[in-house]
Amino acid sequence: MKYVHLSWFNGMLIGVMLLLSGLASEVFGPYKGTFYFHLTGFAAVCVLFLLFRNSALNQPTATMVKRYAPWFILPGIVNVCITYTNSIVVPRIGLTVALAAAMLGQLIMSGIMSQYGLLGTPKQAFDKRRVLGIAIIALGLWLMVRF
Amino acid sequence: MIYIVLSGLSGFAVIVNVAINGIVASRIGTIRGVGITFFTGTIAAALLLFSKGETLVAGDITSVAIRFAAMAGILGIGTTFIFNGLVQRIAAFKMVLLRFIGQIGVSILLDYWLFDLFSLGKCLGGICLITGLMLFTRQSDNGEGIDRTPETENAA
Repeated sequence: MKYVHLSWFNGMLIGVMLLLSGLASEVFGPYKGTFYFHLTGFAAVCVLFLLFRNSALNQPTATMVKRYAPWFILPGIVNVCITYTNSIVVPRIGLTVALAAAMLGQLIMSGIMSQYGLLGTPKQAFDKRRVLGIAIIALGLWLMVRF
Repeated sequence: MIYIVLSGLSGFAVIVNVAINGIVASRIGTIRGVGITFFTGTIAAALLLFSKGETLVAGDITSVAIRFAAMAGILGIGTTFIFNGLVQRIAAFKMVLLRFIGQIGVSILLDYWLFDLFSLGKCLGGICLITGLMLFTRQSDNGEGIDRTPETENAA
């Protein structure tokens, strides 16, 4: 049961995080806001890295070096695009509409990826149930914008 | 309208990032994976910042906004690790559903509390969102639910 509560609590934290990065960008501007978001995030990971230095979460560097690949930098770059977009969007259309639109995008993309099994996702057909679900979410987004 | 489309596209990017991060994490571990993401993100954001002719000034450190950015960065890391902890312990469809309910619930509350942005449309829209999400993530007859999201989710 505690994991159920932790799941929605995690969602709430994501909402608060988006709001805070949006507020920071209101003052700093989206470029500087995005930079400080990543800088503090990186500092937080460094602290975790030191805290869990000897745990199973953190395997010895020597065995890891061989596994690094140049494309590992991709998520960081995509992350900057996402954070930058959130920074300019949230102050203009509000957190709820921004999250709803992002949710719709996420579900469509996850549906497409699982339809074709892209990037290692298990294949699953984009069936009528999923299409209906997306249509209802799109209706919800329209209601949020319209009224 | 353009901002709504941009938000939708950022949702596309989130899912691609989740999948790539999952592969990275499976090869070098969660902490290093997230570390690389934020390290390269910091470099990319710095390049973007300087290319636009903006500079970092000492006054930034004392600004209230730096606290917002810092809290957002820390929350970004925190939510990623909570997600990674949960992904092995709770059904994926349930986790996705509850996480989105949490996001939408808190965003409606924050919009109302901070920006006085509350409307019946938002509540009805929220109900539609949750209904659509339940349909999308509902387990099918053969027991399959929404795909298990890859091991590491990106913070944003």
